[in-house]
Amino acid sequence: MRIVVIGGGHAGIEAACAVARMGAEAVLLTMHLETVAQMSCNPSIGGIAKGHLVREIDALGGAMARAADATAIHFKVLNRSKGPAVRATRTQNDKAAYRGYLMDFLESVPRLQLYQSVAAGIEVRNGRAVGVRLLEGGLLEADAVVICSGTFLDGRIFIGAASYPAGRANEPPSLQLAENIRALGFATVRLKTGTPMRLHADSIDWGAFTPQPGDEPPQPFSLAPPRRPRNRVLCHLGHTGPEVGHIVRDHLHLSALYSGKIAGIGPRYCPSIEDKIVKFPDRERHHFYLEPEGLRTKEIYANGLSSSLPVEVQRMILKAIPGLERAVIVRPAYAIEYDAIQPTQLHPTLESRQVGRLFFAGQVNGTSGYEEAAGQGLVAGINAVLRARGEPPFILERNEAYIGVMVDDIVRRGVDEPYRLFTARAEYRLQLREDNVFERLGGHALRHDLVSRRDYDREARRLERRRRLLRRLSLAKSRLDDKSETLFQILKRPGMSLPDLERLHGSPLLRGMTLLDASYVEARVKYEGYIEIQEREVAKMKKMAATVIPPDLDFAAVAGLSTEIRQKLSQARPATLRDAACLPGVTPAALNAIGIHLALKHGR
Amino acid sequence: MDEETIVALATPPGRGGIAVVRLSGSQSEAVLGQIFQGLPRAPRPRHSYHGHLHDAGRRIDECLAVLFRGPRSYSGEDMAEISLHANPFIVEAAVSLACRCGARPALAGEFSYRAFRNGKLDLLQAEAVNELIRSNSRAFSLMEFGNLEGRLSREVAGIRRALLKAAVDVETGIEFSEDQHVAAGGGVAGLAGAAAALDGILAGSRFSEALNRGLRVAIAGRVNVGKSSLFNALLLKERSITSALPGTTRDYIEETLRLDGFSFRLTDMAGLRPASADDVEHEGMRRSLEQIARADAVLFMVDASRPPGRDDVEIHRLTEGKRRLLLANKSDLAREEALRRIRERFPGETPHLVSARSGDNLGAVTAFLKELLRDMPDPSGAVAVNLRQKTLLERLRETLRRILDRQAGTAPEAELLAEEIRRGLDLIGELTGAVSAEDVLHGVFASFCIGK
Repeated sequence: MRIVVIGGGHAGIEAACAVARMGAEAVLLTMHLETVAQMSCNPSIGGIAKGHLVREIDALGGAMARAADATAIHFKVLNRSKGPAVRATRTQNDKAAYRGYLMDFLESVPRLQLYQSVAAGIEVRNGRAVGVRLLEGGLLEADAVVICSGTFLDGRIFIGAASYPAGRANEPPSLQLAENIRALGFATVRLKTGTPMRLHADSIDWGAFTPQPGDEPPQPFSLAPPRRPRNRVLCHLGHTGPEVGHIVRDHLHLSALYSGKIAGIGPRYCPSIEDKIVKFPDRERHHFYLEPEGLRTKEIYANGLSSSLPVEVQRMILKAIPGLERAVIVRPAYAIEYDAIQPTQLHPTLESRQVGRLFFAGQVNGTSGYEEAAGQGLVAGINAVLRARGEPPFILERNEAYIGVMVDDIVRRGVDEPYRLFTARAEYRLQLREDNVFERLGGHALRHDLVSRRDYDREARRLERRRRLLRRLSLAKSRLDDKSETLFQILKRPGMSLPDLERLHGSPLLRGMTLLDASYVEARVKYEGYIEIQEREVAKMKKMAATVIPPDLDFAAVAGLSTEIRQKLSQARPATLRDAACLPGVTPAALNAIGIHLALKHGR
Repeated sequence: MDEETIVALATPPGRGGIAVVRLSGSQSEAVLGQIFQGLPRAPRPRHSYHGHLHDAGRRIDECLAVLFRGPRSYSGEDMAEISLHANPFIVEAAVSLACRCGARPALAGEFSYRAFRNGKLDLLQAEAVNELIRSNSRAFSLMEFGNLEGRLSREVAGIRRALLKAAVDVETGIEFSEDQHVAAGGGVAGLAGAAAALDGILAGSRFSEALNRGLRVAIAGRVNVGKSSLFNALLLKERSITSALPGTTRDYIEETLRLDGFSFRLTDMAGLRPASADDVEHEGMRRSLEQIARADAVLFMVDASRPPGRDDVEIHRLTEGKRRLLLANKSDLAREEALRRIRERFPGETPHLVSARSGDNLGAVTAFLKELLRDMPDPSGAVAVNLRQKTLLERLRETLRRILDRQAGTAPEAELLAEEIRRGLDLIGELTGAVSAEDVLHGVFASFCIGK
């Protein structure tokens, strides 16, 4: 059995690795072997919700976490002052080392073959994908195909008035594949994203910036990190002043974004400097971070200064920023416009609805971010194998994983801007934590041969140690405020942490435990009650998701619906009761009425 | 885990001997255990238990309760039924208590829907239920908040905005903690205003209750003065048991009197006298005092054949501040001396000589009631709230209180604060339709300059 994966980015790598681990043959097709695992934008992995994703990918046997740990030069846990559910890991990475690490790894994976060529189209027979036509001629036959083409579909770069076709700076786009995908009948959406300029480290006056050291001790992503994590560099924080506002406003007509050249929709959470100044005119200062791109390069990533202004205006902006007056641009900032397919055309397995055995993953599905791409690559890779074998699909639920939230969001709702994960998107946020990925996903991973029995057993033992501590906390007592309470109750108090409790109790509780073990135990204590409420919600959601609304249901015949709700439902045509519940304005009373109607007319 | 436990009155609303409040869902026994005193540790299903409906130990009514275990029940789920005295206050108290203990008011037809789904009703029976829903659809659609015009939807929209703002604020603090200018917390403070608005709605809902149910008029007076006779005379039917023995009306009885197209809820209650050893009567007395407190007006009755005694003075004092009509009953036995003493005792009030038994001069009472109607405040400021909405609003009020408490606490855990705010938005969602994560994110990007 052979699965062909088009694209050697973060999605493609996970897809190909998952295929190979599951015992099938994977061909990873890339236009350019030197840029496999390229971090096209910022030199970092993880962050809030994204760190969660990386750990989920790790628990499912993915490559990203280990690659990030092996090549990280700066570690940070974000939201450290908040609770366990929203704490998230982020690393700064050496980009070249990251590519190198993954290239070495890919070359060593059994059943995985790297092949440099250009995909010209998908060969479809009887409504299903049977291979990939190559630009060099010939057909690469496949039992399933996974497209992970990133921003390369009809990609076009904009810098000021200049624009040229590209998938990434100075790399050719995939024009033939884009055309082929449209010819196959896929609806596409035009999106836009951008990246800031890279500066030469020696041209920066570092004294003008606030150093941002990594956390000690550094906390790695992987359950089994490949090496001891170590902070090796500093990041720096700086600010733009009012002068930058004037420059941007004076030259706005030259910006590709504001001159009307770019039709694609950009992400609201990652605005260009011109967006920030136009949309928030009252703010005189905008902060940005200077992040090293690696240990062996002088390139510095100016995080927060992405732009589509002409290079000379970019230079004027830098000149106006204290500390960057003499900064030398090594690579200019640019905006890129590209085609994504509307992901509502996909099943939750990421297989396309119209062409069987053709899967899509990553930025081509309208998402943004390395981690989002990798998570989808994993889902698509696993399902491509299952589909080819005729086995039941692998679908993660919204209460199991951020991967499940993301896939469900995009296939059900589609995208109208590049989609990024936020913890706010998860209804069951308290359960989707960095500290419990094994509990959530270990069983899936073992079942699908994504992790070894040995790794599984190691984590199972760790979980048992955590549970033992929890039992101990509910039995042992200590005195606090003249009351004898169980350690569990004491820890439940706001502001109380496990180390605090250890001091109070006067005996070691955390011996042999990692920071994440402690986080797990704290979460189970602090979120008690909340988690039970969420579990009830999950049960309700599942029941509603299982109630299918026939596509030909006449909502006018449903008793007890208001005209407004009736119209909404007739337009949106939800597939299940749960989809109906997600529509704005649809009340529980209306859902009940539909449920009654369905039970009557269509049996149980 | 099972579905939510629901509660509703199962017998037709209005008066009858007995009202049955029914619970269905996995939590039925737990809820019953909290509101009903008299269940043994391991209750037998389909067995009737005698006990009391109580609110945190305070007895509300003597009643019978039966537990059913699914599938051997009407709905096929675990169920409980409480047989109460058919009194709208008691019924409302029972439903509200159950809601406070985790049940929620059932939607129209929901018991039958569950029964059908669990294979307890055949198609024909279920069709009948559906018809019922169809015929009730006007009332049903009134429950759909979106259709409600006026102040209530405006107020709720305001609270929704305040909650959304708080959500935006707290979520921004979680997602973008590195964007240093983002100062979370301000939005949460705005919820104090929302809580106050909710208090206003809930207070207003008491007024609209008065409109829906009619003005409450209590008949007050000492034991054996003839209150029940007046009650019956006004209603022209034998309702309460009248007898010569003092203290026969041990509880209060309520009836609706229609006058000029408007309804009055006339309450006949236990005679007021100092606490006796009889516990049930004592409870009846306490409830009588409560009835007086709830009443919009009081018919204060004294005996025209006797000079006013200590009890009369005490009752007069208890009904102070209410719109009041002084009635001197037993006009056939009236004595001049007694009437003179009555005038002396209660200066500024004209005693109306009536005979409850013969119906003499009852026109004075109806004139007084009509006058009450004319003096009613303008109802346009009122907020119409049904029981389902009221339960949701009360829960929302409770959630807002927890949010404000948590915010004021020493270590407000952002994600738990966010969780409470989400629950508030879910409750609002039950009134107005869901509030999605996308709504919150939209607020985040519109209000803050996000992104490094």
